[in-house]
Amino acid sequence: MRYRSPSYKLFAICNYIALGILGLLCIFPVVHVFAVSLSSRAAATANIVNFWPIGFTLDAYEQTLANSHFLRALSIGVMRTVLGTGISIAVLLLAAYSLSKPDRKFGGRSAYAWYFVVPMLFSGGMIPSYLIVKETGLLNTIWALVIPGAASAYLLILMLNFFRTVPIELEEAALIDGAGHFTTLFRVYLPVSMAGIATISLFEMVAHWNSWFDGMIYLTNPKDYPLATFLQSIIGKENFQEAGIQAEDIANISSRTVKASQIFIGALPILAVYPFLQKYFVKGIVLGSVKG
Amino acid sequence: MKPKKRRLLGSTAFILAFTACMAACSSDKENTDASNETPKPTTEAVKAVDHAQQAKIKFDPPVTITTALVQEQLDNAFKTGETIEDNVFTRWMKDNMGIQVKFDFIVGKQTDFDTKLRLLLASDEKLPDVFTGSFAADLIDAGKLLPLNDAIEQYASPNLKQLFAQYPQAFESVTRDGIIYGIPRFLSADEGGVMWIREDWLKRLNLTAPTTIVEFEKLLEAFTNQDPDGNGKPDTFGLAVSLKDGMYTWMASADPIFGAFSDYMAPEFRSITQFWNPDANGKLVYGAVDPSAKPFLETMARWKNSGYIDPEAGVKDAMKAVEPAVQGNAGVLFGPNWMGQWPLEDTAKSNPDAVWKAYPIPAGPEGKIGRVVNLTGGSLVFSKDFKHIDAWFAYLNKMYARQFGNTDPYYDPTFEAGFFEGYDYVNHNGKTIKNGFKESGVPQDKWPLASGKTMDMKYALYALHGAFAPTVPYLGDPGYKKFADDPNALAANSAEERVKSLTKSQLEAGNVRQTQSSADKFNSFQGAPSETMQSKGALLNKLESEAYLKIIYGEKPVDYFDEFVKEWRASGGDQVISDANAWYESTKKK
Amino acid sequence: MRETSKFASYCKRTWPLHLLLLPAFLITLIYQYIPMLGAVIAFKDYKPWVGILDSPWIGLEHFKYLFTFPDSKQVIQNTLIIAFFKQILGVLVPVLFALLLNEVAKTAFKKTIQTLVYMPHFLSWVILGGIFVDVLAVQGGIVNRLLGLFGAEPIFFLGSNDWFRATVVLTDVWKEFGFAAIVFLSALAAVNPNLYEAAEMDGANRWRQTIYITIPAIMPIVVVVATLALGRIMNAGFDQIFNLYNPLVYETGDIIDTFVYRIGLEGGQFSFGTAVGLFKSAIGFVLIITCYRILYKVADYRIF
Repeated sequence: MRYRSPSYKLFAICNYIALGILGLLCIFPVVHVFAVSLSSRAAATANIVNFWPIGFTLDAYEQTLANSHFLRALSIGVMRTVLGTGISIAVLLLAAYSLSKPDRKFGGRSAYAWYFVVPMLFSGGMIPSYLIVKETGLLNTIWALVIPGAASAYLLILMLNFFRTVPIELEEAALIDGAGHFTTLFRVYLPVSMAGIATISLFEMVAHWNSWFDGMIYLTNPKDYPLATFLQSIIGKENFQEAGIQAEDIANISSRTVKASQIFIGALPILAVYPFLQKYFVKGIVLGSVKG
Repeated sequence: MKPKKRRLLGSTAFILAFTACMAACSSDKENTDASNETPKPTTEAVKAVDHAQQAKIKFDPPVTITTALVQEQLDNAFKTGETIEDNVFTRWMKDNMGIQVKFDFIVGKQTDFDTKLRLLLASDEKLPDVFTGSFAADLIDAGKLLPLNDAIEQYASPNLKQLFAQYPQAFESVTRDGIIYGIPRFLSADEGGVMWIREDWLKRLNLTAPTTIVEFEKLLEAFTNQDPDGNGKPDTFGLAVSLKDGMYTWMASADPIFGAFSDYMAPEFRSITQFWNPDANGKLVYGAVDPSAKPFLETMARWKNSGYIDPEAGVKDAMKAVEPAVQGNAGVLFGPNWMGQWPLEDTAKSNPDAVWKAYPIPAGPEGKIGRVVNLTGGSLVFSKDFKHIDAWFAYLNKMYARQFGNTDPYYDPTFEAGFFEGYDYVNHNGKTIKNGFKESGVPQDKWPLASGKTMDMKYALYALHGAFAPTVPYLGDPGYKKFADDPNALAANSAEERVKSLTKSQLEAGNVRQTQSSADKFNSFQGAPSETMQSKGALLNKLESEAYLKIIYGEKPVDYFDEFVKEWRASGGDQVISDANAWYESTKKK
Repeated sequence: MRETSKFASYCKRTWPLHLLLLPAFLITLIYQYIPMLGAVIAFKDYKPWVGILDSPWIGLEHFKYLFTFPDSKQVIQNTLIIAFFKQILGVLVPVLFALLLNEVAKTAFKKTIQTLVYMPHFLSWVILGGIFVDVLAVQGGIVNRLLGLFGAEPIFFLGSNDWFRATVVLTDVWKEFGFAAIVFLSALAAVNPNLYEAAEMDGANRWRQTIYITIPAIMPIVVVVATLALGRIMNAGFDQIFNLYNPLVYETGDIIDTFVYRIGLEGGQFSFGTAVGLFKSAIGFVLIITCYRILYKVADYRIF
């Protein structure tokens, strides 16, 4: 019924084509990594694999799935992501609700806002952070990975901006009904802000899934490493000169195909999560769910 | 049965001998000849130390030694169910030597290792008892390390002492005011480059392997322009080489080309501390700024311009630079003798005719040959709070004894055939089989690993030695010929055992390498980086790397080299040269 | 007395809001502000084994060094140029993409494209670095082969000072735009559909609807994201450059972070690293404050 003009149709066709090409451009490295993971070791060493496996074999996957270290890291990665995202989102929603109030209703909110923004830019660096994590007893626990970064200022600001789009009338109606701030937050704000919550949840999940450095410095035993830290330690620059590795070891360092399979399997969970959150971004459910 | 600390009569004698030799050898830093001699195993025990007794030490109650490691992900390091903390060897150590190994941390990369260590320092936590001292100079400054002079004297086996005395330069980076703070991890020194050529291409074009740089250039021309793979397409070039990280790197390196023109070592862009070699007057020279680099650069630039070398060489690291060779697009490269198996062997999987063969490196216009060889891979250092250096030496003596052979007082006959049956060897039909289990007809259920691979037990066995096998430089060299002639010959020691496990093409290449031992060059600067080196090193390395690549890529004329050297010297290079020489003089005076 | 009662009433009115902020406040205090004190090592000659307190003060030495080493001008300039284009395109491209995707009516297509463009974000630059060396190769690289079809001379993207910055910026935009677009897509999802219906009844075509409804609706988020991006104006992306650069392109590609890294290799110079970090943060902070003030003055809008 909408936009039927011929020029719009032309635009729509071009748009489809352009977006399609863009999509293909973005997927090529993933396809490449996947193809390498299914290729023979020789083909991978020679780097002759493009987008189709050469010397097809599932060896790399067999090896990866039999690698208890990898599987443990994978499950720790999942645990860290779930736990970290849960805690963060709780902390962020509460804080963002408060900060989304206009100044006249919440004197001092600006001061709070700046309080959160400053650490987004300035940090003490690795050593002081390590010392405080140690002093608070989080060292070598999963909490070291989920607590220190739980109040991300960036996501807080995003979320407070999402909350600001909630129509003021909804809130006022609730307040007139005698609801307190908690009730308003949970009954009024959350249901209409699913797109925003989905967004920051996704950001939080991805951040947790990808972050490796904290795992490396706060955990002593590689057995406790989450997947990102585990992967980071195997796919780094292959410079055996510095590591002083000897000849006979090199051939046994996990081959590129195994690494590729680990990278691929490692990316699957986070890729799989996206379609579930996607529905919140795709259609405008905000007001539809409240009232017309 | 606690080991008694014996007062040693021979101690002063040894220290004197050791220092004397250190002085003697330091004044001749280039002692390639001396290095080629392997220390002769000796059975003569130093007076007053009952080595036979010490060799049987079992600590009761057990002693715990903590360490920290960089652990690469190997797929053949442990059997299912075993880990670096709990495996056949850790159990053996505990039961037979009363030594328990614990890990303070394990990481995947050297940079992470350094980070962890710095965090431990910053938070004043306990350092591991023994670890690879990646920034030993700082640790010595901080007073965190254990002086070892007495411990070496007291606990090291006679053969080990002799090895230490033979390579005093290896101790210099961990020695301060005569006090030794580290034990070098020696390498087998057999990684010097050979020239790998596609033998099938040579034959197709009716060429012979080049022996000089002039002939080498002709070969590059032929491999680039005469369609050596016979596919009718101009899709080949001569030399696969990596220039991104320096003229020297661990595979596909340019160091033999540099060595054909210069008496010094090919520059690496990683650190200002390498490479330095003395000139005829006994002054240390930084190879990268020596005038002899100019004809090298001129040659490389000409080859680059003619399309003889990988056009991408400047953006590729070693791993990437090898790819065109394995793909069958490049016909020559320089690298260690082991490359014949990995990665070059993989070439034949996509081009069945492909044959790589090792040849001696070509000589330059004045007949020069030279290549980079490393003698040590860092040093092990010990926390000053470590109470059981005796236990560590008991371990080290036992491990090194396998290198020195069965006459060493610490030689443990338990490990005659190998370490553990079913791990590093399998007994089958009365024979000891160490690799190729499938080919030797060993039933599958007796294979150490389900994959049939040979186990690499370095994390189990050598955890207390930084995951490096204790090695005597050059000791395995005679094995190359021995096992190339007769694969079933008897290995005289564990160094030869290692060589025995190499493939035929690796052995042959190793023999080729040994024909040119005189080309091996070692870095002569072993001191701690001076203040200027620390503050200006990164800048000087940047100047070098830019000048070298720009000249080779033709963005600057060869004469730019002189300008670069002037700038390099003015930007702190002069100071660095004088610092390096001041250090060098100080080692001579000792 | 009145003062107290005013304060009391403020407390009475707002205490739940303060309470809601408490968890975030505490976490930030403990894990951000307390470690921030450690930044004093920027003004000290810090040695880990001496400790933060006991290391000697050396004033602005590290900052002086940052501005006086021979290449500092070049390195800072590279950083600014690369980061500036990355931040600008890093906002514009995702916004444009989100708007175009918003025009797609077929949900399945929309979802698929959205998922595909989101993927590169999950590959690290170590992996992508290796891939781009091949893709951008002078001989046989896909891009140069395509250019060859149009008769263009092969371009040495990773080794030419004319092309390196553009390569770095474009590959970074390519890697991140899909992920960055999510926040704009979700803002678009929040636009009230009734507005479009009303506009249509008024005879506004799609173009006008976009100009007058869609863009204003997502503007607040765009402004926030863009302002926060300014805070990263000195961050040109260490991981990417570290994996792609080489001595041939130091002239245009060496940035502050890679330089600090190479210096650090000679011996963990935490003080210098912290000083550089402080300098970068200060620049970013000033830009954010400026933007915030301008928006507040001009549009009476507080972005946070």
